[in-house]
Amino acid sequence: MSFLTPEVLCGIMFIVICGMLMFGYPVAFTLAGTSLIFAFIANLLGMFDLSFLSAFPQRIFAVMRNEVLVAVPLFVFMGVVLERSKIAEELLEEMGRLFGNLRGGLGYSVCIVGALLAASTGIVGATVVTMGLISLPTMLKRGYSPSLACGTICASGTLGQVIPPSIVLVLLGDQLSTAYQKAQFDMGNFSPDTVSVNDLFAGSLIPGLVLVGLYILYQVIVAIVNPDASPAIPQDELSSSGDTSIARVLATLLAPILLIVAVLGSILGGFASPTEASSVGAIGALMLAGYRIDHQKGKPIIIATGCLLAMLMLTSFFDLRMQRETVSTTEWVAIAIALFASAGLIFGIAVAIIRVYRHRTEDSTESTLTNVMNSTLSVSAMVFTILIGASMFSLVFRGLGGDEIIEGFLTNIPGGTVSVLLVVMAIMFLLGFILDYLEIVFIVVPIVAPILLTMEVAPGIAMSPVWLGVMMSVNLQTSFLTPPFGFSLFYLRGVAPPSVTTLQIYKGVIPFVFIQVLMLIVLWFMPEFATWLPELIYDK
Amino acid sequence: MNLSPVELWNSLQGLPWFFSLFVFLLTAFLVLALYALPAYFLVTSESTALSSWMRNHYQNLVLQVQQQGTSKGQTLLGLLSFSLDLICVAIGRLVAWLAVFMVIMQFVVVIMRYVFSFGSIQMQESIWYMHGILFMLGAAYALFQNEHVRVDIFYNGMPPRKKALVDLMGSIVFLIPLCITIWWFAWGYVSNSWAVMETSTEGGGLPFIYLFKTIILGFAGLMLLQALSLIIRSSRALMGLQPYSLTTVGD
Repeated sequence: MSFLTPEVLCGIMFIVICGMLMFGYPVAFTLAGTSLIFAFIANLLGMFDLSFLSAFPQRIFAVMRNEVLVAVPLFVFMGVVLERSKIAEELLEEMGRLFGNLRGGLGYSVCIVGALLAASTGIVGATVVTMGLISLPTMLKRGYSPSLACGTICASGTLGQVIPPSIVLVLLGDQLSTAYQKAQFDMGNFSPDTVSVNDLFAGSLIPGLVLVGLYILYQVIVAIVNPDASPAIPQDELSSSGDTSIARVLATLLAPILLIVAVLGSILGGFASPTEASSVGAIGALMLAGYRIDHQKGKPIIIATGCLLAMLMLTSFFDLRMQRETVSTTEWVAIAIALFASAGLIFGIAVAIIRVYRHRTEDSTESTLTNVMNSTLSVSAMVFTILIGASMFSLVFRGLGGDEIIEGFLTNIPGGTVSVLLVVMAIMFLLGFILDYLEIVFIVVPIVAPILLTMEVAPGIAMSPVWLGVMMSVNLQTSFLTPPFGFSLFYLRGVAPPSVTTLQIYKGVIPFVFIQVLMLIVLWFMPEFATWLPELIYDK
Repeated sequence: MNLSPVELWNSLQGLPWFFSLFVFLLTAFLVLALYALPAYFLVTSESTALSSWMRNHYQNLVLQVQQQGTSKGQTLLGLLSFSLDLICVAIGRLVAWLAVFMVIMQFVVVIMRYVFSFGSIQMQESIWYMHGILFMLGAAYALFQNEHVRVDIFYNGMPPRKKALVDLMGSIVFLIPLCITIWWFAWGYVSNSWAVMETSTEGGGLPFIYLFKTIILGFAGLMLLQALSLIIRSSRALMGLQPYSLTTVGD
């Protein structure tokens, strides 16, 4: 048994896990279960001390009380409210109506809505499926070329992962901040800089928006070169299709956009942590849903919004702290008004929640609020169970000395940092064919990021963790789009009508893959693209 | 005997982990038996002596079981998996409410902090508690609803019997050992926390860390129950039996 060294066992474990995953048993349990089996085998061979596993409950507990990760269920809640109360659907329709009389207009609206709303589900598949179900039939009915329609939907459905506030960025940011700390300790810096989810949000904003822009630009070019591929909706059909009063368009279009901009703005502006902003977003979504359910009786919700604005105004002009020695009379008045406004706010929120609780969509036997709660529960449980499964894997991997093997492997690649990065990116790209974003973030980042972050991109210049994170997420998004194995293509295939051939989907998505690769090249040569905004905002 | 629950728990801590797991499973199955046995007799006997509320309560189940006409052993196993599912569903649907409370509580914290400059560590910590309980105790419900991500390139194309085989083998080889291992290592971790009645590391925080840590055992235990149910359900599917539906009873 002399050939069976811990290194070999690590390699076998990784290959066996990839193979086992193919059977289709839930990823979290396959990952943890296989690692566990290997831990016991290695223990029998005298290579692994089982007491290593006693760190496992502590890892689980760390997930349970991690403040950053609290943002995940809250963002999911916000996204599910927007989805289940049909606000997202309506946004897509209204947007289509707004741009519909332009050639390629439906395509633009898919890109924009995808970018705005796809963020909060965290599973690539879910967004592509939703968008595929809602917009693909419309686009085909309007005479869009099937390949262009499919390409647009796949690309926009995955784009949300790159644009903040997306939950995968929250998770990636959390992993990167641990990795960055470890990297700095390894370099002997014991008062390390930190990198936070906010930094990653700020870093990925510009690349994400530029990607949206490039997607739309591509569609504009198609609309000019090949007008038949994306025809406009005839004007008379637009005006006859229901209520198009400006107020209604504003209510359905502006409110959700304002909400998302407010959430993002408060994070990027440094006012709030992602967790805090996500709760405001979730409450805002509830209020929007409450308004939408019964907009004849929208007053309580409008009043509540007014109260919230009034409170924000008051707090910027007056000192509203009550636990002080002396509070002047004007301040007491301001405090009284603020308390009064809180009452209005509470009332509005209560009305909204009760309405969402009583509301039922046609396709469901249960209350919308129950649906929202259950979806939030499912998605959070799914995400964190994978995190727990991956931490079992990394414990066993580390116990077998796997991280030293990886480090030895990476540092022995000829050609320095550039080739190491290329190798890591290529591996992540290939893993993207079999694993979803979450698994890759949880498995690969803790192993390779601490090593990568100790390397220098140029003599004397350390690698920026924000840049690394943005590169990773754009790279993964590209992987999910690349035929023939890209994840999103499978999901779209599942919901596309049989008249659309698989080849059409592949053809349609290839231009978008080129856009992604272009983005990666730009990021590679101009890291400022990702690092400029966080440096500007957080002064790093 | 004047034994407070805490003292009882303290005496439990000295026990080895496998004994505590055994105690847990025994309790769970006793509760299940109390629930499932009447249903079993109701299904297998023609007696009309049982009271009508019970008949109503189990009616959905009885109908489903009677339609299938399987052997007594299969019926008993089916009922077992049915009631295991009910536990996970009931707990899952209960903790799902925490999602709403989390949102509200975090919003209140934000308003208090940004408008009135007033912060409460206890409120902040209660959000972590809700967050932890939400996904730890909800994971089994998510498994029941088949919400855990699979690599479904091949799985989606499989016939139902093959899918059932994957679920059966996966639960036996991966999930059950995992749950037992988590219980094994978490038992010492949780007992140590109980032994000192661990409180928050921050002054003024909630003094319930030992309870919070116990949730890890709850996760392992509930997942174990759900894994057993999944094994029964998939072997029933392998035998060509229809699955029971929880829809009317579960609500």
